[in-house]
Amino acid sequence: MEEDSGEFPGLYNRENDFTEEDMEPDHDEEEEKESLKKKEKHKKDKAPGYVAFEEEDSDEESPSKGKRKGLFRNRFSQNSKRKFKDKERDKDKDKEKEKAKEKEKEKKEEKSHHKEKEKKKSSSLPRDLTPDILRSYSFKEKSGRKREAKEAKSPSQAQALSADELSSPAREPPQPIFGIPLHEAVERSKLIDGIELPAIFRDCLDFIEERGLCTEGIYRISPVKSQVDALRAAYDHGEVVDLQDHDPHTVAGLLKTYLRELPDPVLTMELLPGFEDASALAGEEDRVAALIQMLYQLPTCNRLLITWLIQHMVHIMDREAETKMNLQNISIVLSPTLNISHRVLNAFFCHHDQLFGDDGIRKVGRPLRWESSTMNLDEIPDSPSSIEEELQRQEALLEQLHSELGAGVEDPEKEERLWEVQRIITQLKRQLKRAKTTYATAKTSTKQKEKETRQPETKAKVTETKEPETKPTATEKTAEEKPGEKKLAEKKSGEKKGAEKKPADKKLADKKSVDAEKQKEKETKEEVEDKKVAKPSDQEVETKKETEDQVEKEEAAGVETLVVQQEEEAEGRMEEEEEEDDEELELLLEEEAALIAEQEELLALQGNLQSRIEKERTEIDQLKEELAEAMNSRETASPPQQNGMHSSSSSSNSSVNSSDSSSEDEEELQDILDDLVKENQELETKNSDLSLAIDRERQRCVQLKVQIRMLQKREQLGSGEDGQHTDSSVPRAVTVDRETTL
Amino acid sequence: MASKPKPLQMALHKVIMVGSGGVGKSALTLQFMYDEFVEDYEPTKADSYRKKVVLDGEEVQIDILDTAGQEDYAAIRDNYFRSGEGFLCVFSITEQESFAATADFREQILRVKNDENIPFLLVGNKCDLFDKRQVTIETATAKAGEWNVPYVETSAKTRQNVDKVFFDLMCEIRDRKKEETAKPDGKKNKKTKKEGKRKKKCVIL
Repeated sequence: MEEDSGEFPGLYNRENDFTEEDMEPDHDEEEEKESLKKKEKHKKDKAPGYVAFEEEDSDEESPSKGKRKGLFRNRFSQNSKRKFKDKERDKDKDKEKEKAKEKEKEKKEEKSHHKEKEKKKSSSLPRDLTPDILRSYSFKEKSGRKREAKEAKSPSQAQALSADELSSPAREPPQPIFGIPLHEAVERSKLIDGIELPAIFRDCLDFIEERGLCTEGIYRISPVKSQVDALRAAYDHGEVVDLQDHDPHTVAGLLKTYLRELPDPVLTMELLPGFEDASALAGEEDRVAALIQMLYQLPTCNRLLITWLIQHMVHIMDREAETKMNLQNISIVLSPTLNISHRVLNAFFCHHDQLFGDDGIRKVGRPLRWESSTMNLDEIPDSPSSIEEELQRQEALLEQLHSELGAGVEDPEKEERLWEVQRIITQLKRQLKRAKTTYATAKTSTKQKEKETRQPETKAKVTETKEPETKPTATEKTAEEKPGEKKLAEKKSGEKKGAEKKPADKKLADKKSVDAEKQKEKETKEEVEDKKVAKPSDQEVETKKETEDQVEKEEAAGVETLVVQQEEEAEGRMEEEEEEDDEELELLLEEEAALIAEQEELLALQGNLQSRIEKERTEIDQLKEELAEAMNSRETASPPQQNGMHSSSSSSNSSVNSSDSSSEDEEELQDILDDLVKENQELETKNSDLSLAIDRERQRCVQLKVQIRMLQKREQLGSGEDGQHTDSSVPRAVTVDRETTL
Repeated sequence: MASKPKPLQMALHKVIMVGSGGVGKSALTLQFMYDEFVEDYEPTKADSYRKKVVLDGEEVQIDILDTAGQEDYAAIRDNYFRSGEGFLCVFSITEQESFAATADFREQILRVKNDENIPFLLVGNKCDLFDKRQVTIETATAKAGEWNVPYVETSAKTRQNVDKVFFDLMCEIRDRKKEETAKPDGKKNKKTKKEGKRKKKCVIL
């Protein structure tokens, strides 16, 4: 899209192009349209001119019409489509390749040599722009509708524009995504993580990976066209699109539409024959090698796209039981969309490990949004690193909005968004500042403490930090009778505490907490299902969560004190400020090691706990069955029974109750029941207390284990200091004790 | 399609802080938002805040956009000015230049908004530093009178008049909005007429 505008490359070929290429597609388009839209009957005659587009302007009132046209245009007869593609290809490839292509093209289209040269000059531009247009086109990235309207009015320009731009002059998409070459789409809508794929592709893939992997007939069943069109228009207008409310089939349809409309197929017209040949090779090894070689000839964005797409499709095939999409079905669906033959596709899928194994699909890190006016600060990430990441995303967004608004288009929606993004940025900055300062103060304070109490063991320190934290846990737990939503909030708050305490170790902690969170989420769902009966298991899960959060925190605290201590020893009495940097590096390295060790320990613990949860769950199921049976038998025994089912004990109680019918007895029984309920409650609290105690012990275990590891590591590192040897032996003994208590 | 949530029922007033660098726009904003006085001097690029307040018994929201004082960010400023509904034009009473600059800001706002009746307050900040005063109350009041806007002196440090300026401005914005919904046709005519006058005046100035 860049400006070679000084050279006026379009001067010569304007006429040529027109008659040779563009009339044809127009013609085809026309015929197709006529079958649906009578009122555009005259367009063909006027098509080459200014007037025609004005006409179209007036005809095109609804964006959907425009879209439809766009679609039609992309269903050109194969012949004209080829030509169109060739054109686009010119733009895409570097000049060396172009020379080769030109030869082919000359045969096909009998173009003058002259023209080709001109084209080369304008390598990345739609080649038949008039000079006038060229100039304005170079501004196009930021241009408002006015400018675009001007462009559209010039016939040759319009002809050269991609299908979308051509089709909907009434509502000019400022930055169409559909129908433009892949690398341009990447440039326009690349996401903040810099991966060279257009946003629409990432969005769709993300969505289907998340929600569509169990959908029967995904990519096969036709979507609701109007929805696809609406989404498409949104993308073409550069809106921030939220796919969440949509059906997986719609999103799959959108993705297919996008891929189908790529002017050059993913594997490129140029390399397609090569792929064909490679996939036809007899020896498996040869075939794979040749295909790999071919893949590396693709432009980066093309290679990435096919890689991700194949990986994605493999995910779908892996779920064949649910999706009913096997290799064959997928091939049938994808082949025309991607313009790749079945043979090549089959080869891709069969050898996907070797061909595409290395570059995994990455989820989009999406900028936060505050949809509602009530801001929820909980949504802001806690660790400085993730805040900075988020800030980057938001600032990119802000910049984009500014440049869009700076172009002079009035768009209240965008302005509103601008304020919103600005607001998020402000909050992120504040949060970042806070996180940094709390970290600084925390660091200095631990140091001071350490200085004061050099001799006392780290163990003492650890318990010190632990005690204030276990208290809130207890209260959380009592408030935790209804699992579900609350838990999420609690999780967050727990993490926040951690973050404020030791923001520095967040990079690692983040990774971990993400893992943990995923798992937790699963569990929360399950919990909700059996929350009524499954109180013990709830607590198990809860405590586990808490354990993880707390252990993380405490571990970090403990480790840091250790580290500091070691430093102090090494430092002796030297001035702290002088070695600030070295110290910090060392500290961070130590921290990293410690966190890795901690993570391993936690994972082990997690596995352990999970298996126990499973056990509990099966037990719960059994109990449920029993309960159901008991209820059944009781119901059959005495229909007018009315006591609630507080627990299995109450049901057995009520069955006794049923044999008596006098009211006195009933009162008595009611009392007994109440007593039992009370007793049950007491037992429950006792249970929770005990599990809390178990947690504490478990935390200590993990902590001590990590300490041991750290000490061992240090020993291995060759620090032959005797003091550390004795240090390590003490906690080891203690750990053994703790474990036996568990 | 991206579902845009409808703006909440609660009224939302958009206030923009303008003025030269270092006059205390951010300090005023932060004092109003969080009751904190920030000593550290860190130039703002742009910051935005939202707060729920009760304005004459009615719960409303205020969006505050704190802009950069430096000319370097003038380009961004325009984008915000367009969506601003009211402006606090801040200068420091201890700095003559900042007072002079208010005229430029006023002009810029009028250019973008194309409306001389846009809710606008002239704010003389740092009034706790009265011993360093360079701009007299009379001068400032005269200027405000010329523009037909109120003048208020504030101190972000002591919180003097901080709430007042924001609330006064919100009242103006609210009244203005009421007027607009009441007589959308008449308003427009008035506006354009007055614009003509105003433009002439500006030239003379």
